[in-house]
Amino acid sequence: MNKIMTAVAISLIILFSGSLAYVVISSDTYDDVQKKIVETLCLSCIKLKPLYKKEYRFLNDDNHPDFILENLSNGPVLLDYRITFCPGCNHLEENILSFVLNYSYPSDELFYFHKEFKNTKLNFIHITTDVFPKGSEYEQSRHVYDFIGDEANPMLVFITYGYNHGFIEPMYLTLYDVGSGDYINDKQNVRKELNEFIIESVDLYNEYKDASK
Amino acid sequence: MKFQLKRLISQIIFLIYANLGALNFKNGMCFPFFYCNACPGAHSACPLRPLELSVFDAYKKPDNFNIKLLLYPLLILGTVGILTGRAVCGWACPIGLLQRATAKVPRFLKKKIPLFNKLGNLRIERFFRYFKYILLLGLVFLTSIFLAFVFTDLCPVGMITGTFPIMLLKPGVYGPDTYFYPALMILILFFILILLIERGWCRYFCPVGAILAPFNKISFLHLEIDKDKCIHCNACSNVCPMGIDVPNMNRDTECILCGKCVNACPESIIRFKKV
Repeated sequence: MNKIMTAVAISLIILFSGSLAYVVISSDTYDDVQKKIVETLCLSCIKLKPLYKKEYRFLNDDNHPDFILENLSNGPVLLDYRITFCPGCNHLEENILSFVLNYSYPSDELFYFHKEFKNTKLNFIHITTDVFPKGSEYEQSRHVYDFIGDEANPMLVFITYGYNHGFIEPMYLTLYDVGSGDYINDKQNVRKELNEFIIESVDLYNEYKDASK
Repeated sequence: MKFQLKRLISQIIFLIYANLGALNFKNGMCFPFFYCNACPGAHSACPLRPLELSVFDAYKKPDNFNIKLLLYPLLILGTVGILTGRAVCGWACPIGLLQRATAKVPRFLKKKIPLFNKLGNLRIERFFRYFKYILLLGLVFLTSIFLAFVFTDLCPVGMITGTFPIMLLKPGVYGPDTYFYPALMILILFFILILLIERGWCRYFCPVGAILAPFNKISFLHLEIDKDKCIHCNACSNVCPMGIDVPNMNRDTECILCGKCVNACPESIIRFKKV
């Protein structure tokens, strides 16, 4: 009996360790776990949400990424940052943003689309940050607007123009964890609030766009 | 050096090892024990997190199902399990260390209040031990497929190792979300449990223990008892933190190989065996 158990154990250790080595060597699983789990703050795990003021801010040292400025020349920008595995992001997209924007989300990791609000084009950009290599333009752009700095997801950023000590400059408003936990009752209020932010960014854009040129 | 002192040192070393992420050492491995990747010091992933994530999109988007992400933690736990069985629970797991630290309370209660002694001897008690398998299948797998990360949202270990350290390190930056108070309630129940029943979490609820437990049946490292020489003094069962009937056990799935029975046996007929 003991010999049979030993034989089974030896067979299994060869099978398990061999398969583990195969998974690590032949796929990106190790990197995926490091990037998408270990190095990403899981708000669900800590049962906390960021506390912050919902206000427009100006960048001090960093410049806005080129692709943002390019889109900003056509209208205000709404950035939707997420990571691959994020039920909160799915909820925001499926139950809130798709209604506010009246748009059916594709499953692409990066896409742009435009939507008219008050005769002004809103530039919507969806970015799944963890699929881009570190330091790439899209991955790096989230750090520019992540003022808390913990990469909490989902993260929405409105970019429009504003008045800053005598100058008209691009300014941004970052919202974290929008709609999280409000799965049942508060969808309508969250949609309404997001719509108000969109209208505000459009109004600010229309007010200052000419002066920015 | 005394055997149990060696085990304590091992647990402390693994606690420090689990928190090497504080020195910015982070990797793509999974812990072979229960520890949360949201802990500011954690350098690896909780083994349950890749399991949840791999099945997360399976229902809605079957094309996204990543079998390798599902197998990865299972293979890590399986490899460790075949080598040492549930010894990681007794020698490495930081939550095991926490329960070791609180073990004097349930032992005291057991000695002073007969009801607690009786509770552990109830026939129905061993059926409660299957609850951890239900928890693993139900909360870790099924809710991730059909609902959301319910286990993650309520996990008391995430609360101890992630929530409170982050609240202390970054005061005012984060506040409670919808699941904070239900999770806090579960954490209070967790502490009540481990203060009433020694290793209560490991016995009835730990999903990582549920994955490791079957490997006790074939692990290279295990306990061997010379039953013919047993004098049935029950000294081994009395000290067992997992409440196992040690003289009658044969590679018990609940055994965490802590070695307390080895030290307690007056006839020295219980010993560790390799292979």
